[in-house]
Amino acid sequence: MKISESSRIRVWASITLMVALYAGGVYWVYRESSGASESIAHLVPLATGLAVVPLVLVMILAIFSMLAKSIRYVARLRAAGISPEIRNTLASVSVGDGDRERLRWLSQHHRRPFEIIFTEFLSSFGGQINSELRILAVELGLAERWRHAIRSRNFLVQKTALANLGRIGHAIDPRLLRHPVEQTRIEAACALLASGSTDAPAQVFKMLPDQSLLGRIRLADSLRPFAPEICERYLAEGIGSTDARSVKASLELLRAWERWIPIASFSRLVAGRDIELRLAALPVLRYGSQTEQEAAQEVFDLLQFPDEQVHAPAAKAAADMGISESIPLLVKQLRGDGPVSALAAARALAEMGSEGRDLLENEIYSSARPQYALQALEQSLVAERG
Amino acid sequence: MTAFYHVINIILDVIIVYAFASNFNYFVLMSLGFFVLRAQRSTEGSVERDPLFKSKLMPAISIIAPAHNEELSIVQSTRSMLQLEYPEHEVIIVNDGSTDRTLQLLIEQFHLYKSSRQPLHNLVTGPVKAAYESQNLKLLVIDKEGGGKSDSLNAGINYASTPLVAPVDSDSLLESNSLLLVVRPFLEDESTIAVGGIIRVVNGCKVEDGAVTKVGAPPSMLTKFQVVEYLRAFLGGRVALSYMNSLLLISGAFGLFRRDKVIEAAGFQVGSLAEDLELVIRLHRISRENKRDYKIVFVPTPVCWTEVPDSLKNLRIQRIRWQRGGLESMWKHRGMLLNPKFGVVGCFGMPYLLLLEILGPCIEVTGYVITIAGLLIGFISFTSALLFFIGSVLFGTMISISAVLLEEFTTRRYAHPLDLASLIGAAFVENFGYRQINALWRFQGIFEVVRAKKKRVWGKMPRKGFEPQTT
Repeated sequence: MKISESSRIRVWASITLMVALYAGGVYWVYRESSGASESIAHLVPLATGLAVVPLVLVMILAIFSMLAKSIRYVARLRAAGISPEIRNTLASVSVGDGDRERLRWLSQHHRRPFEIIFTEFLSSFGGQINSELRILAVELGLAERWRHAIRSRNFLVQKTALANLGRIGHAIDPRLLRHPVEQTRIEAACALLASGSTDAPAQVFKMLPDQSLLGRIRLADSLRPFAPEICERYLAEGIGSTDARSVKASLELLRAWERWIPIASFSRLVAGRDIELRLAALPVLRYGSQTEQEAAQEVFDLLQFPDEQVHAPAAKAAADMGISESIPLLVKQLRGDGPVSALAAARALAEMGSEGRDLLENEIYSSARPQYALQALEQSLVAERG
Repeated sequence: MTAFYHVINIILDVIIVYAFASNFNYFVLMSLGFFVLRAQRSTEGSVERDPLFKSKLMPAISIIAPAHNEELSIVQSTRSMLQLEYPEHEVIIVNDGSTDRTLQLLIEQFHLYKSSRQPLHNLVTGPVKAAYESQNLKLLVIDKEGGGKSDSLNAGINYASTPLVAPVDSDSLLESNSLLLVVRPFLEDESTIAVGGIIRVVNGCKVEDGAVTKVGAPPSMLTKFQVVEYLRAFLGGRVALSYMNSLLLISGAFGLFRRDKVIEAAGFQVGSLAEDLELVIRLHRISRENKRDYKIVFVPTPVCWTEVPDSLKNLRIQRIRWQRGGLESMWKHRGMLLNPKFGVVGCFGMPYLLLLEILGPCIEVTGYVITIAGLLIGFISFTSALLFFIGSVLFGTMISISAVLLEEFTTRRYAHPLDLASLIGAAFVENFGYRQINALWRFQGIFEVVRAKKKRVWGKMPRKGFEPQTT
């Protein structure tokens, strides 16, 4: 798990302080015990002293931990006891016929279990119940509490608060999208999208290239409901961008969504680019291209690319799109390429209907290395039966 | 005679300074581990399972589990591996010359067919007899002639087609979300080449359908001591070393590697008793020699549960094997030691491993022998010897209790306060006898390397299987 720069500084500052205290202790005990004559007697009190001080601290910590754990344990048992009542009361109030005063009392006296259950309700119900929950969140002071919690140093508290504020349609500060900690940026972006803000998809799309793959996966998922809007207005621009990171992030969105969203001149936008980008575009050629010919041409080009490493993904793309015209190139690949590429070609041929399978059978009997054809044919038959 | 006493006194001084310097080092690493875990804790649960689980952007993983006479647990652990939550993963079991029903059970239980599957890479391995595959192509069993764990892992890697490979022990249990958690550093930083997860002790936990359903401290003192040891090693040492990018050990029971990097490093070293340690050192070596930006990371949340020995005899065998493996790996890569070319790995990670983990037992045992002999001959006073022992025990206790508290402050897997209390108790008691006997075994391990005693191909301990494993 990545640690932010500010946390990194805090970690080293804490360690430096601890080591300094410890070194101070060493010096003090050494000075006090420096009069002893026997060598071992000279060092042992020093060492014992060094052990005793931190041990006492650790023992105190241990006692406090035991107490804290017991308190948490009891609190968990209590929460388990009160949870059914919270659930029932909240359910009744949210459909308009419960005891609002009792609910208020529960929210004030059992804050933690109440907030957990409230969050569950908020994320599970839509429509009228959700509207009532939004009103309740403000009425019971939860919204205010969450607004404060987004400044918490505990990320989990911050995350829950952001998500809940998004669910109740509360405005999210757009500055959080530029927060130095990636996780906070991502949570803020998701909350912003959930809040229904009209320019949220555009803002979140723009921040995609600067995130790690983990962040991009999360954002791609949150952007999914806005896919038509993103594709129509921003995606072509992203793919045509001169910034490789923007192109990659845009292609990843298409791949994550797996939706048929034709983009004008899609293949032209990726053809002739850096090979890494063309490879990233391969799995989504069938989703983004306006015509089959346009996509097929790009696959042909890559099947003939000098670097063999490109052939395996190209063969897979040919199979996914069912480009039967690529069969001669696949046969050539099966016969001449290394194991990974040859197997990919064989698998692609196995998916090309009877023509591909017949060719594979011929390979099994006539080729000097029939193993890849045999494996692909066998796996295809097993998959069919399965 | 005076000169002799003088020499003995100097040796004792060195031992005392070493003992407390090493404890001080543990203390610093433990503190660093604490602060790092605290900084990480707030972000570790930040990504929900669903977006990752359904994403097409996640890199596929091959789990590679070598198996040698595992008929007791193989079906359950394979089922558990197949059921892991991950968008795209395959399981490769390598049956390494088992003489029991391991292979037959796999074929029968998972309805495997004899497959024509071919290796895709060319790591050198022993002969493969046959490959068997399940109909959904998620499980591949490679039946090969016995060649040891490293040879089996290499055979598995040869058949893997995914960008990431996860060598695991076939007698361990992975938590259902382990893969989703262990892959995270690869998603966060493209320079990550290997990640290790935490290994926890399953003894004392409740296991149902291949999953740990209730975490509890083990009933026997010997296994409790090992829980404390695991916590100390993983949450203290490895967190801190990982933070400094000088982590030298990713446990063979559960790790995740970039396949291309493992192949570039020529795979696991056949014949090594610590193939996991050796590979990680080699990955560091290659990356540093080629001046690459890389990361080898430990993450404390993806959990792999393993059964630890519950008898002194089996524990002794395990510890001797670990010690021998460590020393052999260190000897093989001795050129990295204190070599500035290898940065923090050569100047801190390797000396730490050598002085504290490998040579530590020698020095400790020498200290005990000289102190007892000195007491008998009379050149060390009883008070000094007692003080030395008390100091040593107190420091040991502090480090061990700190390790248990680290768990409590961060991952908090033991829910019941009594479990915490019993582990704190064990952290104290282990200093009276267990620690000393452990040092003796490890000393024996070093001795066996020096005597070049014959290696066991599979250093396995007898297992009881996972169920029933209840408190």
